[in-house]
Amino acid sequence: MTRTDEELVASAQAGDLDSFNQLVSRWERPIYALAYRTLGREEEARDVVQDAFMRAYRGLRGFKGEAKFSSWLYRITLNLCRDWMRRERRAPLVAVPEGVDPVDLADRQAAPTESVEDLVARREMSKAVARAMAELPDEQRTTILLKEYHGLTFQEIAEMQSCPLSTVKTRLYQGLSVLRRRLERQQTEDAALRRATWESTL
Amino acid sequence: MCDEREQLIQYVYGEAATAERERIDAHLAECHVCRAEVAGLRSVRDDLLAWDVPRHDPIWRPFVPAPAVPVRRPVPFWSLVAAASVVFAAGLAGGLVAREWIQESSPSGLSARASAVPEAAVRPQTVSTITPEDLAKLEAVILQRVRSEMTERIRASAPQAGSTGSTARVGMLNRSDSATEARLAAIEQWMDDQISLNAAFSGQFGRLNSRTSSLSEQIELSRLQRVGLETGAR
Repeated sequence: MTRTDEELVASAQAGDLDSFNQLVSRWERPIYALAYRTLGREEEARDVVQDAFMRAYRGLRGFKGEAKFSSWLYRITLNLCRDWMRRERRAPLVAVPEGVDPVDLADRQAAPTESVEDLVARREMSKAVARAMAELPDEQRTTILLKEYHGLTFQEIAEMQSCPLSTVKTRLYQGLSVLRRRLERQQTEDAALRRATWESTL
Repeated sequence: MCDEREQLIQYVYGEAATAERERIDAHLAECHVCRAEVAGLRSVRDDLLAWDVPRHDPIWRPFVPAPAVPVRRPVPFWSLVAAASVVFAAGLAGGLVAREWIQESSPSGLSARASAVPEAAVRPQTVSTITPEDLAKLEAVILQRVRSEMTERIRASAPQAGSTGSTARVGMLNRSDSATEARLAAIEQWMDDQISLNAAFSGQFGRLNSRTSSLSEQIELSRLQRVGLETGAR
């Protein structure tokens, strides 16, 4: 029977290392995804994940369960990402080779529903989204990440960002609107480029 | 309604209350501007799904619980004395027998036998006469000492060590507060060591892994783009 986060946290607080290991294996991938999408860098995202779990372990005794364990982890991760960007004076990487795993690609190629062209287009879209997201203000980007990829409620995001509920919704609305315009423009440019490439090969 | 962006966002994410949702549905049926706005928000949400995260190997090395080392019972003093006496008696007896044997085998006695032995053989050992066997013995002694010290440390810091025997449990109960604090500090130190090791291992291997996977992805992307272009050209 799968134990809940709360049960695992209670056991880990009592000194059961295996419970903490289970929490890590459960949340490592989402935490990595959040760090990766925030920083745009794989190596740094790995370092942040490592650091986040270390901090979580050290601070576990002080975790009283007012928020969900996952929200607490997300908050630690975002703080570490913010510290890293301030320390390095760097924005999220824009020209990162984004995309899917080669194994994933091979799997999808085997599926008859998605052609190679579709895969390449999807890959291009992934890069375009990464680029557009990197250009958003931090608060809007973080709000979109938490809502879109981690499924937090508006209330949870408001608590995490210590701001009113209405601010969260405004940030989300503004961020999505900007993304929409940029992605539409990007798609137009990509289509023109593809047409030019295709014509040059004739 | 057209200015109520917060309500539209709630609607798009399915977090609007039932009455609110019905109100927005009714409005969208009549307002093409808001209908286009909602469609645009949904469309950009679909686009966001394309943003993949590269696969990665496990980053965190799981904690390994400290091994439970059985607590050794302290050896009573009287048994040490008894053992020492036995060793002493054996040595004494051996010495007496050897003396008699030497006297019997050489009429001129011990001094004559000693003079027959080459000088080099009786010269006291110096650094230059240390043999590989001596080094091996020394190494064994050092290893033994290190091992015993490590065992002591693990026993002192292992969280489960106290539950392995009734003697240990009684000992735990009788310990003073300062002893308990020292023990807790040792456990904390042990945890810190684990965390540091974890960081060191994962940091190094993580960099290597991500570098490799990044290169693989770039190769795969180039291949796909080439295939895509070729297919498009056809």
